[in-house]
Amino acid sequence: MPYRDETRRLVLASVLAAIGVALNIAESALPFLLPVPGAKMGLANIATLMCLYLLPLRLAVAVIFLRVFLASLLTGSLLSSAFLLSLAGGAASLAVMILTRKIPRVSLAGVSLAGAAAHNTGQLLAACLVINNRVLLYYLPPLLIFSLPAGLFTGFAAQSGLTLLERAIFRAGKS
Amino acid sequence: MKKANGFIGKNDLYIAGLILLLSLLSFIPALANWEAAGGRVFVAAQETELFSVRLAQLKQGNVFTQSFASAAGPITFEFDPEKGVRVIGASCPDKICMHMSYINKPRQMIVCIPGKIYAAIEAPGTEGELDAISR
Repeated sequence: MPYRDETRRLVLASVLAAIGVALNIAESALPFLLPVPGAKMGLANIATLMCLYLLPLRLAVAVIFLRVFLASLLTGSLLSSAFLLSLAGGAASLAVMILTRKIPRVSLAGVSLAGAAAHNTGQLLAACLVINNRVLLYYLPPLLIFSLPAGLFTGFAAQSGLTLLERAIFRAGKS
Repeated sequence: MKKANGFIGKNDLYIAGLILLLSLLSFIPALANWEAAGGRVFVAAQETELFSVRLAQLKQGNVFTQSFASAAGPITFEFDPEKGVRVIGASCPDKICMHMSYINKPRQMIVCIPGKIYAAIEAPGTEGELDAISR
């Protein structure tokens, strides 16, 4: 079990939820630069990955759903189609990342790659439901290919974040 | 705290390979008829077709725009005989559809998810195929 100290765990959960919300909002504010329509780097996935590695599963799941809810509330897209897509992508990537983490010798990069692919697939399936049309599935190949660099990037960023956080927590424990 | 393993391991490469394989496999249906010429372009909202024009007819005419009511307000498409079809105005918050480039080949599409509206190009001989998979 990760952190047993209840207070420390709650503080960590709050910090990760705040990081996730900030990354989510920052990404939605970025200009549209990516070649695939609807494709995103999935910066908020960095916080999701950190939650999975730092918090007990139940708390990690709560933080991730809180992040989706708060980010949608703050960007004014609560209960809109964008919120539904975000929720579907988040739920799909979370489920796949939880399962992938259980595979032996899979590092954070592998978990992140699987999560990015699941996120894009989940969002696309939700989009098909929203417009009640399967034509959107033609976007699946480029989105899956795009999830490779995106997953590697978020995995690398989460790995760096974990290292920094571990050092900070170690220092705080010593003082 | 559960330690993350080293950054990239052998099984990570298998996962990357699996994603690549899935993406290549999902390309196969999209490649069919990719280069087919002709066909028609249509605009639809969910299962209702709002507008349709033959590509041959489009190529003989001039550039024109057409606006449609959508779930997220009005959306305007531009039909260009040389370049194809694109969205030039949308009321949805993200305006992702406005960042999509021209579509001019069969099975290409522009979708506005908040507006629940899309434009697609259908190859000759596949009329109704895109409509069929929408149901």
